[in-house]
Amino acid sequence: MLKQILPLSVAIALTGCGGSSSNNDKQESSTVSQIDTSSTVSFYVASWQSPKGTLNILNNQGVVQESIEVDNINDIDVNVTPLTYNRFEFIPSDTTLTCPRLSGCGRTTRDDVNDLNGNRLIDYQEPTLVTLNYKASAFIAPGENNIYLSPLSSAITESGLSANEASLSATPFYHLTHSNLNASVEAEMVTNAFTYAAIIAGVENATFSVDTAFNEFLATPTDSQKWQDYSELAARYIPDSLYSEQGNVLLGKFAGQVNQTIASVTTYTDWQARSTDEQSLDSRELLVNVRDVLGLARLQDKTYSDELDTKLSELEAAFDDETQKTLDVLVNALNEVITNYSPLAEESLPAGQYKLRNLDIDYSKSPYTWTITGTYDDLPINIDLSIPTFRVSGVLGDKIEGVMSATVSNNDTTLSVDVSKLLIQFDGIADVSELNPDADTGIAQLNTKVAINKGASTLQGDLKLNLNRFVDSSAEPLTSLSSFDFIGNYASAVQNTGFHITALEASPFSGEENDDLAFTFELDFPLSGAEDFKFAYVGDVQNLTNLTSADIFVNIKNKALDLRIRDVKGNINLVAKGENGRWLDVKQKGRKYSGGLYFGDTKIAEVTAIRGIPGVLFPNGDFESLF
Amino acid sequence: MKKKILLLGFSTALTSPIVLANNQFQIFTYFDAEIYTEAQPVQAFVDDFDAPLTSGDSAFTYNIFEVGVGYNNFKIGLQSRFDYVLNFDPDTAKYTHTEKNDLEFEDRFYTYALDGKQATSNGVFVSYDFKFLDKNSLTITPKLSVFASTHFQDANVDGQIYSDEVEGALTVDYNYSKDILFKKFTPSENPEGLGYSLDIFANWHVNDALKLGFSVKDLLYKTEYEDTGSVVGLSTEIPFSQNDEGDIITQPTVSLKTSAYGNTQSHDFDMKMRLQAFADYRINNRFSTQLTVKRYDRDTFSQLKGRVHFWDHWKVQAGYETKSEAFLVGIENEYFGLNLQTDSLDLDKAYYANVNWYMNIKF
Repeated sequence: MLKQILPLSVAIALTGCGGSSSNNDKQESSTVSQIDTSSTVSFYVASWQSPKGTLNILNNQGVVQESIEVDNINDIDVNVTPLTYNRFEFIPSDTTLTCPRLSGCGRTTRDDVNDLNGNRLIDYQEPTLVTLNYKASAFIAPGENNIYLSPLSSAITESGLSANEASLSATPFYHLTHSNLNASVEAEMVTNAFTYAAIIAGVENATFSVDTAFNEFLATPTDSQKWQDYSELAARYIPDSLYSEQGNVLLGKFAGQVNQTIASVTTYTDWQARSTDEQSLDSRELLVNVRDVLGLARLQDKTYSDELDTKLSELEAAFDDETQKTLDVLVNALNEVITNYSPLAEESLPAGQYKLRNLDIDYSKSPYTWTITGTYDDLPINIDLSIPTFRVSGVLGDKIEGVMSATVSNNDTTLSVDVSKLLIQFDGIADVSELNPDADTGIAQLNTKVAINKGASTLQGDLKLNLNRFVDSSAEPLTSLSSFDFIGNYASAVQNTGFHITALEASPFSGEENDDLAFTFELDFPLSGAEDFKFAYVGDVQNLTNLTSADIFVNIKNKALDLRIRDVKGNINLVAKGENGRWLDVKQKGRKYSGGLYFGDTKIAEVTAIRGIPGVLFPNGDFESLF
Repeated sequence: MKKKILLLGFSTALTSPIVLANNQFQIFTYFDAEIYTEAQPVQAFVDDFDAPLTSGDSAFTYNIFEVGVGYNNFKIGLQSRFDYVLNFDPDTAKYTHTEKNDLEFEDRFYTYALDGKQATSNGVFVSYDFKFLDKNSLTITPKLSVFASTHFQDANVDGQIYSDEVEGALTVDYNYSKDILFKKFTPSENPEGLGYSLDIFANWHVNDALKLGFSVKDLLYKTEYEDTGSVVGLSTEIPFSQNDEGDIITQPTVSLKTSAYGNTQSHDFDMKMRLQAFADYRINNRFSTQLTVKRYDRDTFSQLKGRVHFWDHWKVQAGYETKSEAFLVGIENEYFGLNLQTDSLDLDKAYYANVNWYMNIKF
């Protein structure tokens, strides 16, 4: 039942069951009858960009309303008329950007003026030729608004699209309103990631622009190399920062959320035009959205009794330990074979038959092929790998592009790769350097298509893994999963559900095993009653069917909602954040309900209960029950 | 709202309060309190609804106190009234009884229909006896009252409700001075109402032995309240469905327009007229009898009583009324009268009670 996912037990509890709720029969106090609003906007630009410059505030028609010279864009607050659509543009005085990556930004030509130390590499913090645009458009909610400017917010703004759903959030990833200001660290990290990627991509390819890459992606979502590169670099920002002591110490805590936002924004394909419909302060649209979600839950409960329950249980079972182990085995076996029996090996080995524990390896050269059979970590595996191009480079990193067929079995779970492209990249950092004493390990990235069969169901999709090779305290080299991105489709007799799962090692230095993987799930469930139902959350898969306290995102009828549910000893708090900065706060303690319907920092109606039925009481006296 | 029913008293509701007098000037008082409940005895109806359920669909109490002066055919005086009328569906009584006594609900929709009115008023009245026919044997008395009121309830709930679940389609139209239904929207100031009512009394001395009478109380009745509390709205049985495209569409289970935050309304309040007719037959010097039929809304009561006359103008009377199944006893003369009527002397078991008295001082 959807009760479990939405914690609809919460909803049912919130619905109440009649009876008198209060003995206080005096008139409600007039706390919300006077509504007068104002708005401020503050900004964030990633630290690689000089914060001094000009801030332009434009109206919805693109006409400049105000132009402000600022010493530090990150320190200012501007007053903006509430309930208006605005565009913000930051033009830095100094357009120079330095290389943000600890491992450097790649090679350069001889005598490049930016190559300060003349090593023909753009090292960390050396200047680059890249310049970036910073724009964002937003609907200004009453109260505080934070705008996070990045080249991607510019590209999305220029294209006139809405980023809410792509952001898996009620507001775009580059705009926070009053109710979600506590998400500022996450928003900053996402902004950093999209800026970081734009700089590195720009250094690697002087013609690169985020605008062009984004537009190519919109035109041909499955075939835009530029966008793919940009996306991967953005995703790399998190492990790059986490694996270095220079990274933001807060990032670990938000790594899952940041990872999910980046993963979703860079793979979202159903972009819609941004609405500029006039918004009224006391609109009840959020109530309608919340009611639709709860109505869907009740519809599921009543008419399609076990539809979602069945689907969720199946998915939960599909992502179980057996599945994860088959993936582990495939990746570790590949990693071990390639690092030991290929041109990457420290000692050059001739073609031939080799035995690695319980694996038989038939290794041949020109072209490079491997036939790997046997068991690895007790699971039977079978891999046919062929790698026509093999780049070994200490500077750019080793790169392997090939074709692979593989099977790994674990009881009734069979992972198979059917003649799919395989890409493995190493970042080329093999030695300790002064700049990154912790990054002495190197990073491998693996991309392939996989299918995992479990009984009559199949998980099929693109798997992208980042592995971190490092040396543990006893000087043993280890490989650990640093990030994981699996996007595809789950098919069974009862469902065909699109999924996007990411995982990230959030505390790489806290232990040597992957003991702090931050999982995120995004599921596209076509449900009876909501063909476009989408659900996302950050947390463990095993909790999917038992979320009593959770932060989840749901999308229904093209409306995005962030739901935050807390159930502490039966005292329930539900916060539903809707589009444009609207939010609903419902607190239930026993039979008492309190809270409010807000727009930004402005309360537009009171949450109360009438005869035990919770609802919202507007200043004009209208009462609407929540459900 | 039944808590508002005042447990007042007893009597024969009938008798025209105004005793015909030959004297030119008089001072009089009149008091009549009548209560009747169905489904439950009065006491249980007012309290916990915990007596065995009987069939029924109505309850009322009418209470009036007047003091005034008369001169010739004119009368003028002060008046206080407390009236309460409740109509309900028998299924609603069953629902309430089940709920109040923690009994098992049936798995079905219960009809939930309530129509209640209550008003307390204070005002003045004036009446005039128009005399007609030979020897002025026919008297027709219009009586106009004008009053102020700050306490009232006017509630109508109609629909059905499923078992003990919050599920059912109901409409609510509720205006009040104090919110006793939702206990939430009582206005900070009492509403102010100004109203009027018109009664007509007719008495015909057909001959020395036979008198006929007819009265219409509240033939016209209207109070205009300003700044009343109000809750108007509906609940929906199934607040969600799917449209043709299969998408969910929802509406609030409950949506109400209330008087919260000072959004008070003006409201016109009326009461239903009450009819009464009697035939009084003087059998001989010592005995007389009277048949009275009264109709209040949907309830008709027939009463037969016998009198014994003694001394000069004194009479004692006793009688029985159908429907209320009440017995009455009383004593009356030209200057004073007291009548008591009930169906049970054990007030916990009484469904009907009435007390009525009057005094006239003539000069």
